[in-house]
Amino acid sequence: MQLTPSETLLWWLGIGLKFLLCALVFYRRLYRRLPFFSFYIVLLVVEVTVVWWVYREWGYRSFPAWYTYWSASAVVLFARALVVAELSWTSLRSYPAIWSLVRKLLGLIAVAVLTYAAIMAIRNRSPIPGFVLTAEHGLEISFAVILVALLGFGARYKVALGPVERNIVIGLWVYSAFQVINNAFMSQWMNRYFHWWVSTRVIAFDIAMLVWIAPLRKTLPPAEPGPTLLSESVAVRLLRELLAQMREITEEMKRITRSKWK
Amino acid sequence: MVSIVVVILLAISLIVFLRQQKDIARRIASQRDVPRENLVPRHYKSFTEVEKTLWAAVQKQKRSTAWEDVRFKRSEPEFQIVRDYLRGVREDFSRGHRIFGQVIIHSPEMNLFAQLEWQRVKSEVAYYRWCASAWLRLQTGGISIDDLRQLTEIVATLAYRVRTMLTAFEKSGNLEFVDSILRQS
Repeated sequence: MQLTPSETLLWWLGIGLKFLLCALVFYRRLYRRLPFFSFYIVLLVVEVTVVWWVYREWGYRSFPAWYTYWSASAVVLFARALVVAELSWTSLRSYPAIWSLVRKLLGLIAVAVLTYAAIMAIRNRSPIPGFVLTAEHGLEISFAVILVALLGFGARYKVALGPVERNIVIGLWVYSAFQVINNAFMSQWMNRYFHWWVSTRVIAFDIAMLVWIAPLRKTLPPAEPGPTLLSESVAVRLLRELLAQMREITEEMKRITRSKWK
Repeated sequence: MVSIVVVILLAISLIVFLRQQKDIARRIASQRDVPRENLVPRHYKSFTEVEKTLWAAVQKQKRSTAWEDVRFKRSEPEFQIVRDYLRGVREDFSRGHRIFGQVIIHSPEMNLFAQLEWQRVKSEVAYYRWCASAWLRLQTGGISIDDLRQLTEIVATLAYRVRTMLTAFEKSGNLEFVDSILRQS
């Protein structure tokens, strides 16, 4: 397969952005705040370097190239899942009841998607690409839903994300959404669409990287102090008392309304 | 095709939530220096004065209808008083609702959180049901003093709950917690 000049340009642009983003992550010391995201960005640079080296050494159609590409894709996909988990953790860690529920939900989604991908891989003639592609399909739609749910939670309980975290959410969401649409078209027109599929994937990722780079251009704002925490025993006792009080008031109001109508 | 529809719906939600996120950040920044007493619902307390002012305005016009049957329409000059009061009460509701939400998300137990959230949803439903019925009445005949009283009751109940919560936390020595809740909601 020969790349067209525009595809080559896109690839080089993507590689350039990956290196720039990685440099900015270290320059701004983002790894202190978001270690998994920083690890993911480093992995992207390692992936692109290793894949490029393997292609150059053994050729694009060789077995090592094929094996390296799919293994690297699986590792990067796993790292992206960790980034989504990290974003959920940084936004919800101050709220113990909600975080414990979200943690279970995230685990459940991961197990369900990976089990489905494993079953599909066993049925597939090429198990590795089968596993990676099915897991990717399932995870991309899950990421898109989880990231919107995270922002929805913030809107419902008025919890604001920091500018860096918000841009990471937007970037990840843009890429996942593009991938979901892209995969839907790919499954309809398969080979005819393959070139477009690859290019759209690269463009979507370049957009995501530009969104991530934007807040890193300036010095990071100091991390917002989290909400002041309350001891667990005090919170449980007081909230239980308040709930009982609320129920009493509701019952009293119902009683008054009933006596009014009699 | 289903996945494309899902992505479109998610994109719309994402845009709405991102706008709300910006509003939250802007509001938190703007109320850093606001006195504490202004961070809790307070406009609903002026209901008696509003009722008196409206009564005086109606008396000036020598309307013969009974007070409970008087309807305030958008076209009438005294509607400005109703509008101002409604604006204040709407602000009270949003503030009380936000404080309530900020307190209950700190609940360490899921079961407790779910029950408190249910109480919050109930007050939300009552408020939005009132808004819908008031909008309908404004399209037809105008809103009465009883409608305003009902809204005041809904908001006053929420404000009472919020005040009870904050007082309970303050009495247990968690002044810093209460302050952080008020500044962030």
